[in-house]
Amino acid sequence: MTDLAVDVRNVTHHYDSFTALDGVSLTVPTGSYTVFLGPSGSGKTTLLSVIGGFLVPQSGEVLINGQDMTDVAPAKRPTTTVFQDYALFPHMTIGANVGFGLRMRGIGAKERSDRAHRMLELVGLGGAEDKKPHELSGGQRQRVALARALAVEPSVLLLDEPLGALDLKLRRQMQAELKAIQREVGTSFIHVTHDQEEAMAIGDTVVVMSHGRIEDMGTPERVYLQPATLFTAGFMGQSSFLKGRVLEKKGSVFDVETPCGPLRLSAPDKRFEAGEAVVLSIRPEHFVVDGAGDDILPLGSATVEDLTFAGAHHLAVLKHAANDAFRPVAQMPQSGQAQVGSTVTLGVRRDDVVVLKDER
Amino acid sequence: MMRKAWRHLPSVLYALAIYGFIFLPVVVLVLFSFQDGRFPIPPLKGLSLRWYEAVWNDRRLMEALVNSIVVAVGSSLMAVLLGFLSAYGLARFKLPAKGLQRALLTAPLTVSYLIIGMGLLITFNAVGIPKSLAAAGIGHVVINMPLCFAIIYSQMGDHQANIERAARDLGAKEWQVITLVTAPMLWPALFASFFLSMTFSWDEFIISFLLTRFDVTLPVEIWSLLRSGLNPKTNAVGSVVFGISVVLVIVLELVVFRKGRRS
Repeated sequence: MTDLAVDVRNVTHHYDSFTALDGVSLTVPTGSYTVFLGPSGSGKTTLLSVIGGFLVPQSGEVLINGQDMTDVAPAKRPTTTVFQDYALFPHMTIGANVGFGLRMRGIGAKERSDRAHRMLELVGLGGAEDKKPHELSGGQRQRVALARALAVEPSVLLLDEPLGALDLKLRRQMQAELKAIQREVGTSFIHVTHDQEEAMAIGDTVVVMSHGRIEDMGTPERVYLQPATLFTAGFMGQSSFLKGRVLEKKGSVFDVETPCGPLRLSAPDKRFEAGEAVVLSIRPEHFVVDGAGDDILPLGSATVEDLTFAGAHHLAVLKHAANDAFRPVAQMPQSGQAQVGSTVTLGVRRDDVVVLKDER
Repeated sequence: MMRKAWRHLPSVLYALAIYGFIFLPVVVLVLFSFQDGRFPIPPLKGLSLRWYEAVWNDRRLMEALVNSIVVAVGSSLMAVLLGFLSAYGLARFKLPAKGLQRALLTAPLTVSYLIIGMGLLITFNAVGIPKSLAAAGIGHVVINMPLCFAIIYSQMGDHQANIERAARDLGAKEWQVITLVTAPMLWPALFASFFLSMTFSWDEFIISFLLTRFDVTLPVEIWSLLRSGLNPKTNAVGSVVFGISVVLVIVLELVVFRKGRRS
């Protein structure tokens, strides 16, 4: 045995001239909840199909529980998939739907109905066995699809944008339930979504994808607070970007020339050379508005151009006084003096600035 | 109000004329099948069921009726099966020259029954297959299979492909996918194409005429009956054929109608 549920090694796949996966490698530890996050066309669903066996990649390997499964058909893999459109069998009862996988494994009717019943109770649909799929709501069908896929006790459950068709409130509720169910059954879940809030709320690990490559991979906190690439910083939550150039480097501390003036920054785990183009990424909540202190880097003054109320706080779009191109988005207090047109001073704590390579 | 009604008069008359043109011959045929006399022509001398009794007692006619039912059911089952399998193959697998294959499968729809019948007659002669009910049945499969294919193929969408994928994912083998998932999901289309094939086979004449000899189907038997002159018995057997066609069409209509209401 191994403690890796899924081990994807250097997988590449092209559709005609479009590169869906470009040398993707990743591992999914047994019993974890992993989320593939990316915009459409990023390759996340293709990667899920490769793991599920619906697509044999043109190169690379897929190991499940340590065994090479690259060419193995979906039916013979210890994986099951919850499809985006649920793909329930419309002519069968809910009980028969959930018991289908067990029936294919030659399990008797009595045990089948017992296990289907337990699975439906797990997803909160006990007693719905005799209904047909068309009698259920979207959220309930989603649960049936989940129960059907879990009934055969797979090692890895694959969920292809499972909450995409639900309304926002139901989606948030199902996120919590999915996570709770995953903890209860202990199966490794791999979940594909383009919703970064969903990814952060639900995943033990978030895998950020773009153009067939993995941009970043880690805990939601790490990926949000220390994104590895510019794409991740922009896709996972909101960020303001300030371009700059490394002037001088003294150990892990270095000076960066920016349109807002020179800034002394530190990035202990990253290497930058003098003269290298970099981008400083700053989250809206990390801007210090009208504040000062020893560890706060001054960023100059800016005018409030637009102010949006976001419940717990305001979001302000600012226009930097010395640098027209820099339009930072900063979080401002829920109730405050700030108004459109007023001028504020901006700052940021040194540790909150993420320094990234300028890839453009 | 009156003026409005007048304006509709021409269209009402036109509609009456059309429906009269279509249905009057059938009405006359059915009406004179009840003729209490020797000729199926006016005047109507009274109503009687004696000609139906004569049909019932005519061994040749009843044998032909049974033959027709056997040929219709057998050829329709075969046409649905072949149509379903070819639709499944074309909809679900990557095949070479897919468009051409689809065109070839539906092409017989545009060929006249006479040509198909003659072609089969010549081919069967050359191969040494004798004229028989089975030969006529094969002819009916040839004309009905394209129809079954077209109906079933049109009902196979991507959504169903995903459902089949789910079945495979849960461990179903290919034959299990077809029998447990695909065919039951397409039940209305299979049913509709079966009954449509039945109606076409039931009153098909030319192919049956060319390909049968001793055992014949009902339309062929009626034709030989007609050669000996008009007779209310021909009206009676014609009414029976018409009645059975109507029943088939109603069953078909009910299935399609019920399906339409559900989805």
